[in-house]
Amino acid sequence: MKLSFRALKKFIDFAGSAEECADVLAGLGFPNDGIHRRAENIRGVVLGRIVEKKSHPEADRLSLLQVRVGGEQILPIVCGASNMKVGDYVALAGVDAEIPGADGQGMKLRRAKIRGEISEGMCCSEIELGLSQESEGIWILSPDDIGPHPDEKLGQDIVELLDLRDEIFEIDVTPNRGDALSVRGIAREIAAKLKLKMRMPMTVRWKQPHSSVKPSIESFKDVYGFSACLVTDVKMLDSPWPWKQFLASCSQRSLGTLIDISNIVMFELGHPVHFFDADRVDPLSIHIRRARLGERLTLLNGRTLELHPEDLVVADHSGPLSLAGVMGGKASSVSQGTTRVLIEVAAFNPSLIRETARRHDLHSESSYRFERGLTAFRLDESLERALALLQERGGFELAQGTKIFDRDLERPSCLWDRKKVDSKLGRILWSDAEIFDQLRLLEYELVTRSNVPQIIFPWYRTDAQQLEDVMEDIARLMGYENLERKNLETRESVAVLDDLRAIQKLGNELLNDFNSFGFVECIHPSFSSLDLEKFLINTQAPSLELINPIHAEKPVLRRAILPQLMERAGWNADRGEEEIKLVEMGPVFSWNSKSVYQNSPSAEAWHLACVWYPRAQDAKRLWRSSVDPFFEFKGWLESIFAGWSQTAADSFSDLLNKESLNPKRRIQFSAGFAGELHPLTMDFFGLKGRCFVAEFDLALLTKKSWRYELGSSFPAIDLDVSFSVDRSIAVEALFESFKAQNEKHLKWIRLYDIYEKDRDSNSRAVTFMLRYQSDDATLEMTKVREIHEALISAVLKRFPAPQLALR
Amino acid sequence: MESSGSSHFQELRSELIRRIQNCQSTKDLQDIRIEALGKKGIISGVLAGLKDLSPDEKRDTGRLANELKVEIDGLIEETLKKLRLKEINETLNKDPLDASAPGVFFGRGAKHPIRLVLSEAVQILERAGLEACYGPEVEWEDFCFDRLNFKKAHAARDMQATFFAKNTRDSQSLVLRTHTSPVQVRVLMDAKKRNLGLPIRIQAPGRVYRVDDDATHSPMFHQIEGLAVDQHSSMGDLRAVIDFFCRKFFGESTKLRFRPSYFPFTEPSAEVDISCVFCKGRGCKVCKQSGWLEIAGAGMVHPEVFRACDWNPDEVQGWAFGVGVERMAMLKLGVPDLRLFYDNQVSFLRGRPA
Repeated sequence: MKLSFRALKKFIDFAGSAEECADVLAGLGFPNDGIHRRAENIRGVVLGRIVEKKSHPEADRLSLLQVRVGGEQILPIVCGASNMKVGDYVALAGVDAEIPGADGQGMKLRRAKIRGEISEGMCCSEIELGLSQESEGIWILSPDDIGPHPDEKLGQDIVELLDLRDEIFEIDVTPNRGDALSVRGIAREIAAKLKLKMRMPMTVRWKQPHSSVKPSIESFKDVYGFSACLVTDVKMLDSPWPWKQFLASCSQRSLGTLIDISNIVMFELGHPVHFFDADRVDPLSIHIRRARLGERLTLLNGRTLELHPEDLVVADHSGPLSLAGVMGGKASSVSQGTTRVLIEVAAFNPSLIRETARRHDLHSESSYRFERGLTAFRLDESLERALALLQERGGFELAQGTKIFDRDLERPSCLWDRKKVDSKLGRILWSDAEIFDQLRLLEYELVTRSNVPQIIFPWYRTDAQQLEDVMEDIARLMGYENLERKNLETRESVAVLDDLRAIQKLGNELLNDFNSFGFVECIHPSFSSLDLEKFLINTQAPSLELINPIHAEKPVLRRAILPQLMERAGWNADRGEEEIKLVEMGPVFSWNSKSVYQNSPSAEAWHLACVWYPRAQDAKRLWRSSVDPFFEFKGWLESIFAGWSQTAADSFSDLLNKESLNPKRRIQFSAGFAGELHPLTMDFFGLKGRCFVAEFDLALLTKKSWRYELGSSFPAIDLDVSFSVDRSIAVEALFESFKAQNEKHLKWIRLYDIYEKDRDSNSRAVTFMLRYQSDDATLEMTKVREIHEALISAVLKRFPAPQLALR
Repeated sequence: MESSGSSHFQELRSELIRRIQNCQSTKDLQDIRIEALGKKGIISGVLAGLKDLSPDEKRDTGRLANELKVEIDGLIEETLKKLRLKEINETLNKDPLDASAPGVFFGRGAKHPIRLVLSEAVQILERAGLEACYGPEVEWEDFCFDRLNFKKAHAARDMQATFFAKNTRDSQSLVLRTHTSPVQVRVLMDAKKRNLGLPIRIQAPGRVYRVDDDATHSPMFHQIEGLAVDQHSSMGDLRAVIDFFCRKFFGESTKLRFRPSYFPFTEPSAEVDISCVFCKGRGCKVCKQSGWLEIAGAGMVHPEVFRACDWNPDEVQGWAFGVGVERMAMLKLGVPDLRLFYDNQVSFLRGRPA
């Protein structure tokens, strides 16, 4: 909210600077986003009057003006605006004058020649002077604003003449404090904190109840109170300059005297006030009710709405007149010729106003305040302030009407409990009496009839009802910096949620392992698209869809991590990144698998995925190993996952589409999906060369218990064997057939070499090394040879010739 | 004892020492060793000649010969070491390897900077006794807002622009959690259901989502929630924990400031500022000359939250706070634009020495 320091000082005598005021406000819970110093950077801009206007001979859009700036001094000005005429008063920045400029960066005027014509300055717009965010052409000052005998003031400094200086705070008001969205609301807070006296502006009484206005309310659940006052024989002069200036400080344009009055009351006191043209409504049948199906209403801004049955309207017998709390109707609005005014001040259910404003995407200063909660008490104050302003600017004959309100309305209250206050806020140095005195400054009331004082919340607050709310006000008045400070105390929590804790732990361990192989961790938002996922994920797996995605091309939550990670691999390659090894751990979303949380609205699993996208530039480095990268990748995964046992789950194997991998280059993991990408998948992601991927479901992994033990102290014997193997036999099958013999002295088998003479031959040479060792004796070579021969014959038997032969 | 034997000995000794010292290769030295100390060598010859001498001479000469043997043997060993080193170094210096060529480039693996900052923060809070707990990211609107005292159709809901998800299972409204605070609800309800007692002292780190995307907002970001519930925890305890956290995370000289604020689920509520980590509170561009940086929201758990989670607010009390991890990361790592974290560009993620 914008708040004028000058307007604030009308309510309280604040002696300090704007900065000091801002500090006090921040300490009360109203921080600011900066202080705008109005007219601070205007120097040498004077009042001028246009005495001649001709068009520029060389440019249609430019005018040549002669502007009188006092005495006989007349300046030639080339002007690009079109809203001025001879006789208008303007703000003239002559040569050497300084103004903020449209961009706010500041500018100094110089004599200029514009298309051959001399210009000795410029006529400024309100934007160029930093006085407004919007303006139509240059600023034309009305003679009334300048005051009596305007021509005698030509050449006078405009800042002094119009008293333009002010400091505008851009303060943050939290959504619970609808009451603080006004000059009075803020002044009240400062006054209480600094013990200053509040000055209230003039008000004029009205006569009520009176039979000339008869409002009625359909439901007190929707409308808590409604005051309607008929004002007759209204005579209106234009809004005076100080009103316009105040409105401008609230970023509100002057829109005619009556509307200005309703706006001034709202900005000053915080409560929206609505004016109807009483000749265009029936004051005797005013009814505040829900709209009926099929009703329509054309608003002040020209929009015609189809009303919704939960919209609240102010109506008369002819139908809806205004959208209650949001915007007035066009047909019933006041205009230049209005002489009879019906003033409405009301309190509405904030939720209704909020829903209506959202439903019709119609947000006004009024709905903004009502949504945040406005009191149903003292509606008269606002009405009477409006009457005072009407009287100040022309006057009226009679002001009479009726108010109705829910008689069950009570100000919330709570019982005082000093022990609880001290226990939650920390020890307070003030006595109860001192606390109560402070609270009274915020218009709290105290009932002390019984032993326990009852605290009645201020009439203007709509958000406070419990002792904790009182505590906050005590703390605000004391200053949060004065609350008791304690030392850190740590105790063991008895309650913890176990959800995901184990998975976080194992995920972090795996991340460390991947890091040690050079993988870089990515973190992506969870947003994805079915298109991005179509190659990798089986289409049947249902996605979680967003109702309001932020980027239309990513409307679902990811079902797996790989699609994003592969997209990013290509993106990184396009940027010339090196050693693209990505790993990511995080949630994936679905409906039909098991959630890692016990009590979960959808199914969230935690996956870990990795991508290795080797680039040509990576391979050109010195001493790069000559092993096929497939086996490097497989080797990393094998060493990382050696310590983990894996549970197989259908849900996971159903999710990721094996066809996206190269059919011959898949790596088997029961908890995961791994291998080299299929060329078509590569094409889809725009990847070139080769790419290796894997994704694991962390819930399917369990850490094996790890043993530390001394190896055998007896010597080992290593023997080789080389086979000629048919292509149809996988190397893994040979390993298995060795292991199947359960030879206790066989320590391990290593693959030594695979030699292929050429791609077309049916067989290849495969060489193993076998290590024999005993835990309790030195093995004799002859005995080992026997064992070795026996193993080899068993394997040969398992794969009869010509599948397998010794080389 | 002066005799021709002894002067002969001195000559023998000097000659051997001279030859050893002048020797240029290990091979020559081995030859000298055999010549001097071998079974048929010079010293053995001397010893063999003893049998012709008188007992006294025998004793004296024998002693001298043995001393000489030990001395020469030591000298040869010592010289051999020197020569060996010299010979090896001569070979090594002919090595064609150019050690100034760079090592094999191994792209360093790295944790994501947000993970690093998150983990550090979690560890600090664990030292303050807050156990890490987790909750789902797709959450019931009820847990994310209603039970945290966000009233239906109240303007407070505008504080957090919310993603809604289609629920194909039942009619409950689903959101992507806008804050980690629903974990408060989960922990409170779980502790009540299982009758675990007090205190509850937890932290809830995790991913959260809001409809926002610019240099200081990402639609997905991270928060850490802190929650303590017992019978006596106060604003003063809350301050102590946040003060501990900020000092350990940003440095011991970090100052703290509490300001009144509003969150539906705390009352009283506070906004927490730290002294600017860049200018140490003197005022700079980052802190907009204020000397302070907003770092957390905090307060005493609202009685309505206790009620909504089946606890009696007259029997328990506690505090809660929430910090934004990205903001802390930006401050700590000096990253100016939050979006860089989620571009996931490899060279950015690997980082480099500053």
